[in-house]
Amino acid sequence: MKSFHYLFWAYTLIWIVLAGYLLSLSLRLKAISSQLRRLKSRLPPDGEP
Amino acid sequence: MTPRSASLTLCAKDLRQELRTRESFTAAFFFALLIQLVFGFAFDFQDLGLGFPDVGAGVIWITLTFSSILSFQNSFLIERETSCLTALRLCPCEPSAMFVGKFLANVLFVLAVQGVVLPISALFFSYDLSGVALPLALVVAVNAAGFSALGTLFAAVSVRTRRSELLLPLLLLPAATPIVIWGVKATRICLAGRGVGEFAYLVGLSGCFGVIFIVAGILLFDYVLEE
Amino acid sequence: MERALRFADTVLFPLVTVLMVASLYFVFRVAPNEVTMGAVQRIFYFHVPSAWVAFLAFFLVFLASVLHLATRRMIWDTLAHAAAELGVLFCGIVLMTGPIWARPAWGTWWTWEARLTTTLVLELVFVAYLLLRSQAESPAQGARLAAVVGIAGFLDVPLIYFSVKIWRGHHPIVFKTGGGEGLEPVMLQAFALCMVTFTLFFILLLALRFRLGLLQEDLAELREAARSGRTT
Repeated sequence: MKSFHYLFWAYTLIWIVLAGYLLSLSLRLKAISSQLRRLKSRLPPDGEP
Repeated sequence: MTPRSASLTLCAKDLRQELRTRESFTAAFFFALLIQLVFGFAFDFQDLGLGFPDVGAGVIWITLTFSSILSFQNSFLIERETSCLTALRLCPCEPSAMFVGKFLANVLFVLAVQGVVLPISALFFSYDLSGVALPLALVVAVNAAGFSALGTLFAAVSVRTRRSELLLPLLLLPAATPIVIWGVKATRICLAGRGVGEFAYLVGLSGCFGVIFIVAGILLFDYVLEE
Repeated sequence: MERALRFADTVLFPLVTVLMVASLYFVFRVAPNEVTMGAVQRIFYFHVPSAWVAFLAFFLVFLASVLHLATRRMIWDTLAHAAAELGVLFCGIVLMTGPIWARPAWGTWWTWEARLTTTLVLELVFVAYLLLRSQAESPAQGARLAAVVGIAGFLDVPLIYFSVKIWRGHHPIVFKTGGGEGLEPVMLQAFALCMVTFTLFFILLLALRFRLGLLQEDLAELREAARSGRTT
């Protein structure tokens, strides 16, 4: 029975780590995309040397 | 300038610089001595009934790795501080020859420091080195060469960054694991008084490590030196 | 490039989700209990694929580093960075699940046995690789130096493995069912499924992280353009 304890924690930790990384990736992607949009809107249209 | 003469010239320049200032040697030597002191307190040989053959290999290799890191760092920091890195880049010789020159100088520094520290270490821990001096010298020389090959490459890389003093140990120590493992194992066999035949394969493996990273350094040094 | 990344979004993501659910089903419902270690052995189904993925990631770092030095294109550097981050992540999972498995199986959290020690050293090598990138003085220089370290680090991998193996004996033989050697067919199926799932999951994460890297570069370029626009 005790070994289920370890099994549970092993899989839980794996999921926490993977979910955490996926979350961090999507947050970073959102932040960068919005920064890019803001910057693109502030820059003049292309055509400069 | 042929690559060979370029390497030797650069090595000679580093040695001359060191002989003039004795900066790097002094720092590495006293650091190595301090490590012996800490070991003396940490392991309390007499109280614990430990002998040098038991933990001597560990003492020797921890001393060598940490004091050598200081030497490797210094060999490139001097170039950076005197803006010599640019001069090296403009040199009309192969970057690979420069790597070999730096590597040779580093090996000689490491061996010079260890040549003085090892007998002192044996003295502190009451061990007679005379029986094992030559085999021990072989083990230390080959492993120091391997360690210096990787150390020279990584020192050149880390000196181009902002926190070079922090970065070099972090880069070098895990990557040098094979040298540490094989060096310690061979040294332990050597200090136990057993024959060269028993640890020859370990010295061979360390030699392979050295060759692989000398070649890697020769091929990659150009990219490290670039602006 | 955009097509490949969109493929990851539209096809890979649902595929990996389905495979992951199927893998969990196989691991917990289909595969039998292992004879000597009981239920805790099931950690193996995620522990070993994580190790495989970490190794795959580090191999990608090596390839991308070589390509970056050969072609000087930043896209390879972006790929190397993404792969290294994932390698460190999955190596971390191996180092977490290893002790959790070791404790009930062999009574101790850490045993300095060959494979786990090698994984620890590799993790440290590639963490230093990521640190190097963050300390470089410019992105181009960081890319080049990181490529050199990535190549040297990967060349070191077999040497590290071999040296640790010489230092410690072998990974204990951990799977036996019934009276036979090795894995039972059902366990083998579950294991194979997990390997495929993790590999595809890695590709999915790589695509996402790679996209993030490309966007970061775009942002840096735009900022540079904005700055130079302001000064002229």
